[in-house]
Amino acid sequence: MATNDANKNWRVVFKRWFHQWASPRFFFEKTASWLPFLSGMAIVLLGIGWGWGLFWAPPDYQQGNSFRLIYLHVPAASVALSIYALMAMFSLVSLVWKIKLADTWAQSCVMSGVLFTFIALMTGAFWGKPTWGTWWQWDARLTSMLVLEFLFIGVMVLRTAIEGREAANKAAALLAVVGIVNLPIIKFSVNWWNTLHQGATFKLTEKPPMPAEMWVPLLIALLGIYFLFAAFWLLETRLLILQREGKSQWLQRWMMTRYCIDNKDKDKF
Amino acid sequence: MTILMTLRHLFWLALRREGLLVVQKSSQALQPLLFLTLIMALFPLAISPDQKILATIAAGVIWIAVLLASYLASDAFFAEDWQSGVIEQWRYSPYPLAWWVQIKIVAHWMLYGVSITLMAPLLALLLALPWSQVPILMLTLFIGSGIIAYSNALAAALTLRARSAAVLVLLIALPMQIPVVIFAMAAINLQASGESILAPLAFLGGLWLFSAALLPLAIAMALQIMMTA
Repeated sequence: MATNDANKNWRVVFKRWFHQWASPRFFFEKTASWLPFLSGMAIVLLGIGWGWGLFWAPPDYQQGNSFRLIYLHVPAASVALSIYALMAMFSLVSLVWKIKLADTWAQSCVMSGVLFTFIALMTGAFWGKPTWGTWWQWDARLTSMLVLEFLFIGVMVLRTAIEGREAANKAAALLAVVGIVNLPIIKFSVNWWNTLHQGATFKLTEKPPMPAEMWVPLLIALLGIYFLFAAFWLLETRLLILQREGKSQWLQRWMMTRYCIDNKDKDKF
Repeated sequence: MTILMTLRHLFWLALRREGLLVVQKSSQALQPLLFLTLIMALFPLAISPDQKILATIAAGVIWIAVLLASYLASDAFFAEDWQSGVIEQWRYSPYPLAWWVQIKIVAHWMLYGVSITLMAPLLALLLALPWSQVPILMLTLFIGSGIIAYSNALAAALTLRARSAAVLVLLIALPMQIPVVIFAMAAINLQASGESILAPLAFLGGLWLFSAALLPLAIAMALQIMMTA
């Protein structure tokens, strides 16, 4: 019985936590101070990772200095994939539990996804030129990345093209969920079709196939870019909340106290 | 409960309706096939009339043309039923929306898929594809057009209320069809080099079953969103 009670308690706590965070007001007020921390972490980590990687890490014995693109390319590609998964997860939550804020979270993933996928593609092209001798190679990973970009753009364009905000948001959420089911299939088929790219740099079970002076800054840059995304994401979510909840009283009061403290009418709020 | 038709009976009735609609608008229904043939004429003109060069690209070209023609048809896949309120009727019928969607897609596949498959020898002739590759081309087109029909229908349902839906349909459907193209072309190429084609065909069949089982649910959900949200 005791375990049952504990179980129930845990569930109540979780439920409350879940519902609190699903409220735009709670989210908006709680995260007000997060942005400086996230962007500060991003700047520090990226500064260390890129500075170390670009200036102090030893050049590669085969690729020379051009390998240093890894410090932008790999983090961007990695975060782009994570963003799609995150977007699909938020979309699923918004479709199943009809939580409006989850949809806002999903929407604020899209632009960063497009951006980071684009960076990964561009740096891949710049890297491919000295390494493979060509800007673009129809290799499995490049092709999947291109498809990922199409998937992001599809979600983004669909949301703007549909009339009626609710229908647009739900349709985009559904497309994101369908996309995440499709992504492994596409990835597998493209791999089956052609592969030339080197394998993943980090595997959980093995030591990275490069010296520590090379992969430690990469790991730091990787963390940094996740913080950068988190900062972008939070900023966009807060902007969207401002847009969507602009008419609600708590938000107007918040804006009053923040920006119009001298206003004579502030008692009204 | 006896008043309700069985799902199988419903299937045949709805299939008949789709068939009648196509017969009534036969000039409209033939457009994708015409489009397909027109594109075929462009390749020899643009690339080379040389039979050897044409033969190497023929299968891929036919597959691309079939994909493009399918977008042409799918842009208006649900549009007419949507405007005339038929989809609203589906929603209030005692049968699941996904089942109506399934019937419509199967009907579409039986019309376009079969006609495209039957046209394949003619297209192969135009592009000098070796005759030994024609049966496998027809087989991949037959299965492949079944998968394409599902993803195009999803794109059509999602863009029902969208402005300028044509490009959007392509943007949504194309990534989903990449595996289809890959496995279909793999089967054709493997057969040309005399190897076993079982693996790509098995993947194609699997993709078809997967789409047939799951995508009608997603499409029904999309239609529901378009009607209620």
